[in-house]
Amino acid sequence: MSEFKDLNEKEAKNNNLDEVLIESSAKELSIASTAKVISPGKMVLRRFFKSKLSIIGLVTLLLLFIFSFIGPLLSPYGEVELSGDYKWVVSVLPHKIVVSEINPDTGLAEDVVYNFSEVSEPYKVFTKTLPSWEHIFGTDQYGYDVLTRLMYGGRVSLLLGFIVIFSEVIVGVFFGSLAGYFGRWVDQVVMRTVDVFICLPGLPILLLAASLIDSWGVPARLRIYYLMGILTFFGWSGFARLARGQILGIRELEYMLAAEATGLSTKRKIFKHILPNIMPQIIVSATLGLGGIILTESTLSYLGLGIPFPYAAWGTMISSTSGAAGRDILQNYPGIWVPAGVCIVLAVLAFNFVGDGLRDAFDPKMKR
Amino acid sequence: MIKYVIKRIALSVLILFGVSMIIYGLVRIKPGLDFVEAKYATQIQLDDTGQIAIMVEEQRAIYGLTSPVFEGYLIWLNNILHGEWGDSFIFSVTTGDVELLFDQEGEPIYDIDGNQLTRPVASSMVLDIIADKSRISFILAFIATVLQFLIAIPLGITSATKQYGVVDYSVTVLAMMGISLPSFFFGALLLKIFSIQLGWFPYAGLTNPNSNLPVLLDNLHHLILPISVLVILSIGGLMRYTRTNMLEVLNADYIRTARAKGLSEHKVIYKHAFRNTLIPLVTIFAGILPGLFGGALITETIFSIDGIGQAAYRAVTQGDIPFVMAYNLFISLLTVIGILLSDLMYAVVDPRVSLVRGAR
Repeated sequence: MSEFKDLNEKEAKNNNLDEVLIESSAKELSIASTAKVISPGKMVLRRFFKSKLSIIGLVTLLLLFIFSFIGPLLSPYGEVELSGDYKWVVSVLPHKIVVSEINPDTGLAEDVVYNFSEVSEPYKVFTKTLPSWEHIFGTDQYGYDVLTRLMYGGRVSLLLGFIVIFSEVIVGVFFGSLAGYFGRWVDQVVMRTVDVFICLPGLPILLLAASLIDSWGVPARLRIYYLMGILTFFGWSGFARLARGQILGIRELEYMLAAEATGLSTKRKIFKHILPNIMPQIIVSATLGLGGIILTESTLSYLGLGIPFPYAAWGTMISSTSGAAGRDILQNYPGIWVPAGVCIVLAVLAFNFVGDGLRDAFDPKMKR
Repeated sequence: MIKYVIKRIALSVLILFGVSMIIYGLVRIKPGLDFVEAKYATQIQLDDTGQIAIMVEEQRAIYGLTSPVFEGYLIWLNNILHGEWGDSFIFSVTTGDVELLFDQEGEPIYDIDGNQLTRPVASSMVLDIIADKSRISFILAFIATVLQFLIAIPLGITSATKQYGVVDYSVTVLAMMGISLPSFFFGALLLKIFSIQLGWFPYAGLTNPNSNLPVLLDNLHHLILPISVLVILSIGGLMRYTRTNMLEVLNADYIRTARAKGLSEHKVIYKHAFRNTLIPLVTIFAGILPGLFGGALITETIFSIDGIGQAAYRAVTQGDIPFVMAYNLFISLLTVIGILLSDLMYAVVDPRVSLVRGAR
């Protein structure tokens, strides 16, 4: 700042004629350099971090991510590793069975030796053990370590949430911008389709779809991808409606008229001038939607239609309390199901807090 | 006005067509055996007389499964429109009618007193089952909805009038907790604490044969936990909605005018502000209709209440596709009607909405 001033003063001395002019420009310069320039992004960030709730949400999310993505690396147990007492397992020598079979090549009966090795199960599986230092939340009814399952369940829920919301946003914004930008019959077709999807019952139709997957005989490993597909298929309509509404508003603004007048291509208008301006709204509702997706996924898992056994999911862990068989767990082993419920609540709450914080931060009208 | 109403109704019908197409499409894209064949696959193999095979073909015809997809859809739709929604695989209810019993020769059977014997007629028609099962679901949902409004709206108003105060923060956080709680977890928690540990409320079902309470009170006693789950989980959304609307209204010029006139704060809030927040609340009614009759799937399942929600869950797990299809269609129908009603009501309540320019 002082350098500028010195420079300007020197110049002013050198050139007396322009003294007045240069002095005024020096003033302008000094104002520009004293006032702190804040980019809109920084302003949003600052407003976001002003709210205590959003910080709490963000920290919770970070902790959950560390817990479920780094935790399994540190855990001595695996996702589907039975904990039990292996001390009594004795290695069994392979059995030999001699069978006379007809050799297809020669057509003669030959003695064939079959070797059978017994795969030894652990002598005793520790099911439903109470919390201890070895198993912080105990083990569940199958003998899996609850804490480790909790971490893997978190992986599934968080990853699935992000992937689904991302695909929902892409599909929704694509159709929404088509409808909003082109209007006329495109708008009619897209929006009537959106209406149909909005009138579909949420959970029941997911149940129908998920139960139909069951009858397709999809392997357990792949089931999660089908689940993502279903959730996206029934969830994109909200984003389409949101994007369309936003674009309808933006299309009428002066800068779009200017973009039109400068003869920009449609692609450039959409990707450079419209989409960046609807992004804040989309990000906010995507964050809020993430909580909803985690809830839906865990509900489906609870009902036995989500992530299949033996893979871990928070909803499945709570479902061990349901029915007559679950009465014992519900009553005596809160270590098996309460932590999973707390994790779901924390995750959903955190996404809601962050979403709310983002909405307030993006909204320039919000003054606190 | 009439033009608008007709346009909206036509649109609703169109939406229902779309909904039915998606539901039917979902069922038809399954490769291999269709759901009726899959259901009776083992029975057909065991059956020598061919009776079952004929019955299966009849069933398949109802869902248009014998024809290609599009034709099948039309057949199914035609049956739906004629009230033939199919037969449930697992449920049957008594219709209330009785049929007279006859012996093998066609002679009526009499008991000792000379009265002809009768037996109640059971029906496994999906529509009958929906009508029967949604009764208890309606009672449950109705009480919950009334309570929800009674609690959430005053809380929302208080929260808005004391914005950023202690009350506002605690109510907001509590509401958030309510929104974030999964119903199955909350239900399990309530069961553990209040039913198993404290023993205040029954564990499951609707009636307890050993209870010495009158039946109605006994039922109510069983309903307290499920109702609390429904109310506590739904308060949050409504409360935040009321709060947002109330805040918007409180910033309006006419509220400043009312205050400037020297009206009491009570009058300003309840007479001038609250009445205007009722307008957006009308849109809430759209969501209530399916909630009232559609049942609470998870809550009913947790507390073993024999309502339509639990029926839907059992149907899903036991492969009763006809019932699940009908249930989905039923809820979509309620949703569409709900949206239609709330749109019309909005137009009636809010004089600023002009109907001249048509829908939306």
